[in-house]
Amino acid sequence: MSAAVLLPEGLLVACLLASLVAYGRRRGQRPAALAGVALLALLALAAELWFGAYVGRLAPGGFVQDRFALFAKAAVLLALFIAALIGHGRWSREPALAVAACLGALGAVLVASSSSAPGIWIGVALAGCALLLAPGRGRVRPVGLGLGAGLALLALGLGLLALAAHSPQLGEYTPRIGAGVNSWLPGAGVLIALSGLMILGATSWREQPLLLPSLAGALLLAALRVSAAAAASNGVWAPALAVLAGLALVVCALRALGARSAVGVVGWLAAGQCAWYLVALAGHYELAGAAALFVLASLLAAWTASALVLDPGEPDLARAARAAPARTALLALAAASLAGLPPLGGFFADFNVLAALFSSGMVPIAALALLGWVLALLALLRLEASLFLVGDSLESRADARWRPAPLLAVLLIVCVAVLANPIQSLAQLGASALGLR
Amino acid sequence: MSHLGLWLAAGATPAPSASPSAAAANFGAGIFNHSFLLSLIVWTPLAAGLIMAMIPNPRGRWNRHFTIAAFWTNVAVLTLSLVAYSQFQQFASGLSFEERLPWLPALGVTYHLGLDGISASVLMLNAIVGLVAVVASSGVAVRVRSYWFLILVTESALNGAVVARDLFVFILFWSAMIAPLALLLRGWGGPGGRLAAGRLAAYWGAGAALLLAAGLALWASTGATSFDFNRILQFAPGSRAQLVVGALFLLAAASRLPLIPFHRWALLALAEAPPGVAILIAGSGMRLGGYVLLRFLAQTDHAGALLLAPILAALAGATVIWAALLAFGTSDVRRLGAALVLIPGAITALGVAGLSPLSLEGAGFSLFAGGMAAALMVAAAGTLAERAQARDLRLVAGLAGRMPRISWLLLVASLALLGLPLSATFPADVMILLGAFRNQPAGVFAAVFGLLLAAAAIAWLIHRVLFGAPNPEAPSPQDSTLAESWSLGILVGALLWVGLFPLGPQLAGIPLFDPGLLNVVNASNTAVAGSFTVPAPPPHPSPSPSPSPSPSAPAAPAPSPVPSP
Repeated sequence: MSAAVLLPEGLLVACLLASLVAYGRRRGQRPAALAGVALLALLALAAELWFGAYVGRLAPGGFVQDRFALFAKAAVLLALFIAALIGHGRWSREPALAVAACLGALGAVLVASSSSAPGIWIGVALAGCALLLAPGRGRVRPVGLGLGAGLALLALGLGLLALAAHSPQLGEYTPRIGAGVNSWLPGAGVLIALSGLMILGATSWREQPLLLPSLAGALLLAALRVSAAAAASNGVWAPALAVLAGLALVVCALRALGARSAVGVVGWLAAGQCAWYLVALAGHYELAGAAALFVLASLLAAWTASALVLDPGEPDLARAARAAPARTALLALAAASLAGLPPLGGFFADFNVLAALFSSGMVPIAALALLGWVLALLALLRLEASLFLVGDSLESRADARWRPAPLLAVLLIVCVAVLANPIQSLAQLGASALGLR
Repeated sequence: MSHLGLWLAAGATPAPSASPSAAAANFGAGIFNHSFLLSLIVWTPLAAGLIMAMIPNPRGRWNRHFTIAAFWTNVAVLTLSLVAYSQFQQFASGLSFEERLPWLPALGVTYHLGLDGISASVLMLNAIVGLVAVVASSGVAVRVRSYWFLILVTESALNGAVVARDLFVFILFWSAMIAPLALLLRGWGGPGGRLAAGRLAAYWGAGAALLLAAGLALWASTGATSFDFNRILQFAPGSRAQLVVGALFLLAAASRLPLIPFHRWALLALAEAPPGVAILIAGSGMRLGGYVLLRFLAQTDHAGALLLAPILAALAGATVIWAALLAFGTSDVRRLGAALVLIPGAITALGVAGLSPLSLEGAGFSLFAGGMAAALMVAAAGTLAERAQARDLRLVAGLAGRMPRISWLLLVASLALLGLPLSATFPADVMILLGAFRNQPAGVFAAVFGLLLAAAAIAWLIHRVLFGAPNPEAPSPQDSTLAESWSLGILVGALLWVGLFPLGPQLAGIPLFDPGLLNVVNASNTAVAGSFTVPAPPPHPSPSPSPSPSPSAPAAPAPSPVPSP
């Protein structure tokens, strides 16, 4: 049974191979292979939820299958399945995107399962390499430079941590470093944060919106893994992180409010959810860790869906709404979830973060978060108005059809809200598996 | 059939409820007391809206059918609400139709719905206002499907907030109505609809954030174990925490009622909204602010309520005066209606600030009465402006002869807002003004002064618009259509019915079909006003040697205007 827990990873590799097959074929022959990618992603998700509960340490301790890994991998695989479901058309036109999405998901899954610093670095590097497969027009050089510099900084940060603990194993950090303040820890934290910013900063929201969720997922999971491992020393950097993340949350909401394009609004709303995640991370105890995982699950699903539905080449959202009502409904729901509109998954996630902040006495940060929430709501209204309130936009065209794939994705987004109870319970088990108390 | 019987008997497991017939053994008996009634009321509009949204509507082919479907959905909700209202167990101490399911156990969140007296009256208000809003919107011709979808989502959220018995569930529904209402304003409002939508979203969003903060602070201070009203309403945190939480509740409610200085959204939103949306906002949406004051500030936050009551009374009095001055100063008939609509909310707030059993009962009653009067006022002003094809008071004049139906309705709405006899607002205003006089005399004087000013403004409006000399340059007006007359007539009927029979119609002392709104509201007044009962006067010294009652004995409840059943 211990080997069976690797089944999702195996299926994910099969996904990657199927996407490579699609890449090698002519356009007319790609749909079958891409359907295979969607099926394999669904199987991987099902296998993860089925076998994931078996706890174990594999590959001489370098690979951990615990409740945290179960939750994180399930979230990543759900996002991949949504991407395969609704990205079919774009992937047929640009098969490199399918390969990149599978590679990104594989990287994020590796980060979720890694119990050592090198494993985390490899996972992030894999997810980052996905960017190079579809860098966008004229962006190979900046993406490559940013990615290289970011990965180098990440290696330095993780290396500093390993030196402080005299071990690359994450599980050894707390026993060896203990609660004492190590002068290298702040430096390592700054380096890791800078590496994340550098890698994300190298990408373009307009040209690579599809690859960002998995990359951000890998980075956020790495941050949670490292912060949980060094939880005893979190007092060194957690206050600064809380303040910065709270301010970032407000800034992201303001940028979303001021964004002129739908891609910009969705991008900044998603960035705001990343800031919610980091705010929760600063809480560094079980309730906050669970809240961070809940944010991750809703963020990955909603961000992937909205990024795939938004076509930068189609600026007239109202026209798109008339032609494809199901995709428009998906975009509206996903963006609403990213803004934290009740009763969608984003609201439940944000509420969990707020509860963690209040119960740990971080009321000023909670006030910043609430301000960001209201601003995000206003930004969302602008987007929804441009979708539904221009002309007769929601009165669909005669040839418009409700296609099943986007409808299924809509159901999945709604499920994140409807199944808030089991998701939160699983997230709590995941946070507990990380050693957070 | 036997499967259905088994399901009804076993599937819908009744939660611990005060309704005795929930455990009825006979098939079909007590079916409406089973635990799904409130969920049906909450989720039926949303389900109908989602089904509508899924149906393709090329070139508006099904517009008429969507309107009919929305109407019948509201009829169904009104029927279910009537069942809940008429079978409400007003003599029992607990909740009626209670439903409870664990939702987020780690945070202590439960999907807990239930009906007490205040909820039952506001639920009825929502159902009537919802139906009237639908009838008043029957003329919507643009993006019909989207319009009905957003209206039905809003109604679901309004009903959910009223029957919620868990603070998280309440906050969820309270926040969920912001986006649809803002979109309705933006998409179907007048020329200033865009600005109105932005203001409504900003004020209501800020109010939701404040409510969220208050709820979480209360939750954290209770040991972070439960959001359930049963736990939170009985918990008494330290006085400083109560003050902070109370202030947050007050600000959240003031943004929704609204009280000055948080009223700017209302003037614009009610003046620019299409009639159906304006009715929904003024009749139901704004009443939730009073509901928060009554439910949380008065019932939960005793020390905070005592400290904040003078501020609340001052805000309420100032709002009434300001609304009357605004009514004097404007030349826009819809803006005038919007200004007058601020009065019922301020009167409710004054009732809460009174913190006496009588004023709190009046405040609970005024949620229904004030909601009806406010909805009638915005609807009448909106219809008048639409039918007269002008909003400027310099153009609309001498309409009584040409628009008799609207003229009468405007007259009734104005008198109801002022709380004159025969209207449901009369007993509410009397209870509030008398009950609050002892604790907040300045607030009561200010409110009465404001009401006199408003009466003058209304008299000026009536004289000029209805009975003044017609302006020959004004476009030719038309009287209200049948749908408009019906929608406004329902509101007038409800106002008069409750005004004439606040205790319900009785035949030889036996209550008939209506248990009486005042009786229903009074059922939960003990829970709301229990801490604010006036201490009984000390007994006269008795010549007999029997021991006199101890001064520390529990205070006797103050006499209620309603005879105890």
